[in-house]
Amino acid sequence: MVQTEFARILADPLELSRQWSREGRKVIGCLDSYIPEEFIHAAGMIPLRILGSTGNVTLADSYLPVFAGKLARSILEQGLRGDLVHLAGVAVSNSSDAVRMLYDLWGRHIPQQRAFLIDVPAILEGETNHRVFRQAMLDFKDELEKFTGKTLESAALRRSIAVFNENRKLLKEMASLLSASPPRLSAETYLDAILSGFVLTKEQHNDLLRQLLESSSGKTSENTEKLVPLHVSGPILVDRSFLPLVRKCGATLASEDLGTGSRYFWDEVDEVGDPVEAIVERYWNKITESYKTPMERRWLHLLNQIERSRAAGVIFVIEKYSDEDQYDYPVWRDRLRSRGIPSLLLDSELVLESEQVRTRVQTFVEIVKGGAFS
Amino acid sequence: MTSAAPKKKGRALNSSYEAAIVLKDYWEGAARHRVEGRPVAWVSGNVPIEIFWALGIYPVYPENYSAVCASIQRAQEFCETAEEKGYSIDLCSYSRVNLGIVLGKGVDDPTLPYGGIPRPDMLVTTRIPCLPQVKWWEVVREHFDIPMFVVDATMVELPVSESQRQHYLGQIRELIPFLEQKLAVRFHEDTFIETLRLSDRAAELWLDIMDLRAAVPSPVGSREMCGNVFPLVAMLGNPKTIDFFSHLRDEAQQCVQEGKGAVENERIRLGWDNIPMWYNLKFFSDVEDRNAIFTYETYLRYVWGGRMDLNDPWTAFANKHLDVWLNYSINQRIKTLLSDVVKFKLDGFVFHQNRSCKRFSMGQRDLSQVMQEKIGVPSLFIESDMADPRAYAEAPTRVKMETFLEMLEAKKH
Repeated sequence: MVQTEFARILADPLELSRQWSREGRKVIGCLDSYIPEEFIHAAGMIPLRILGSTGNVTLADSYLPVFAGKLARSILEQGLRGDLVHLAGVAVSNSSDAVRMLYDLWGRHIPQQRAFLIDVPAILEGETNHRVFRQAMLDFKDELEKFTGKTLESAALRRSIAVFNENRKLLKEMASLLSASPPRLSAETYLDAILSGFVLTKEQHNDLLRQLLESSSGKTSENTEKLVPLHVSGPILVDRSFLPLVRKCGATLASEDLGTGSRYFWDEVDEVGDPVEAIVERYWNKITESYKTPMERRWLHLLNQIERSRAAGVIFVIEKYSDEDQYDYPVWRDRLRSRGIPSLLLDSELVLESEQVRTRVQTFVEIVKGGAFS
Repeated sequence: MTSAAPKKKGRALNSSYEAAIVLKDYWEGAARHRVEGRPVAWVSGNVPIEIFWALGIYPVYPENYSAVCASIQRAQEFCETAEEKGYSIDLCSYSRVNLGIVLGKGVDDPTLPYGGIPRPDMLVTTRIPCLPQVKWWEVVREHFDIPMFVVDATMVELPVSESQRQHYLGQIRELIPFLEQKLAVRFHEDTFIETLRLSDRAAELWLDIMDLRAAVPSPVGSREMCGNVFPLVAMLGNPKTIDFFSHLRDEAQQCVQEGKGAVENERIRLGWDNIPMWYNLKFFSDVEDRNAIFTYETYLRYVWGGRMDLNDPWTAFANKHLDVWLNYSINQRIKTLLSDVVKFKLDGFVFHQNRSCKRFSMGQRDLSQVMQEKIGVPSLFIESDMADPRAYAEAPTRVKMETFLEMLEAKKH
């Protein structure tokens, strides 16, 4: 069963990449959503999203303060501990201040591993920033070409675009099954399917998604009729125990606008015209992450998702010390409130499972169910 | 430093007493500008400040206002208001003070310092010091619903590259017509160049003072200089800044010529990294009881000011605004610091792990390690916050500092 396969993959997310490396394939670790993975793919390498680890941080404490946040600290920990030693390189973009700082720290403390910096602006507005954004993307392409010793041909880029676009279409189809009424896919399966995509090749992921969609077609996910549909928003959700917890509280994920979810896969690359330019434009125009300005694209995406799923409330899962998301949260909360949509904030450090979280979700679900929100 | 009640200290330089007058003038000027209906922009640290003075737009610095609130022990109440409104205690305390005011009783509340913060017609910020600054301004824009412009920049290793310069100048070429159109002002290059000249003169004087502090004994310590820096942040291009800094420079020069130090029997020289604890500047002067002096700060040397070669004004303008400590890569920070620690003959260094300024605080461990390894200068880490006094633990910090000074003293023998 494909669900079992996802669970098996996620039990040790780096195992497949170690295997690829043993087979002589080059794997590039990608640290955020502004790495043009199509370039890496077209260069014959495999992009692998690095999402940190829930383990204790000890080695990285020598270089980053606690308030740099668990994501950046745990990624550095993985690098220092040698968990990522099989990667041919890591790619960092100029995203949050903490992630950007990882590029410097990688160069200083893990110098044996190639680190690429895609030095894109944070402000995705204006002609000048567009020019600089485009150039940063082209520079990365040049660096990859030097690294592999091969020119990125248009035909290879088009093939990569097609593979990635198919992946995005399949994921969007999955999102529509999740938000269907009644849902045709469980929230837990949805999350596993998304997370698996970060550590599989896109071709493997597409195969599994097709199987999943085929097996889900016409079916209704079990026991969902009594569950309150909720939307989940935030930069990252990797704690697989969270959605079962939500279910136990009488609710389920019906839609999301996670940085590691629909914000990652929603926008496709235009398959007409010059492939390099099309890839650049895709990343320039994609739904913005919280560390990019303007914020409105992200807000509209959140609203669209809620409308699509008819979610009765929103849970914000925000990483502790993630300044960008913490500034956004009260703004989003107030805008939602003015539309009569209740929301709940949960602090996460890649992990959410706790008695306190359970109590808060339970209370929130009761409020949403009872319509006591005003 | 002793546990007994500290004795009240005077200023080492009499001109430092002018700082409070300059600051008051600045905020009164902002209020006057507002009342007279002239344009006011809320701006943040490291914006292209000279543009505003040249255009007749009053640049109001909420960051400074937050520091002022902290220095008069009023920051906590505003931080708490912001937290009640949903802004995490982990966010920058400058922003929490400001949001506490904006979203609380409002910027016109007469009980606020200087009678309040003049309302903005426009918001301008930059990513140069950090990304959260931009996020803070997004919240402010949500509240006031006014135009906003953000100047972006990527981090630098010196010298600033041509592409970084073009990125910066390209945005300035977009900013000027934006300001002209939104605020009905007119840009004249001659006025701008004259503003740059005034700015550069002020920076020259400030850097002279900084360099004079390399002398043994040092003429003036960190507490006093933190109180003097404000015009370098907000009033570059304003002739009053030049007058004030001239007085400071002349007096410091005289002290150095006469071998007169701020501390009578200077034995230990210290450096400081990060924004100071504005509610506790006494931290700096307390060490003077132990014949120690803070005579170097990355915050005062590399975050504000900077010289410009006005033979090529636009290039110089871009270089200056990108050449900022907070925008340096870790490698650049190391290069700069190693050379300065030697130049200023520092015995030890204190790193402020400032919860509110992550960009400043990340990379400090590397600086400390390299300083110890390459030049044998030890350092101390203290954890606190620049404006929120709740993050400062007095007793353990004092003990740590005492121990550090004892260790440095023992090293001298």
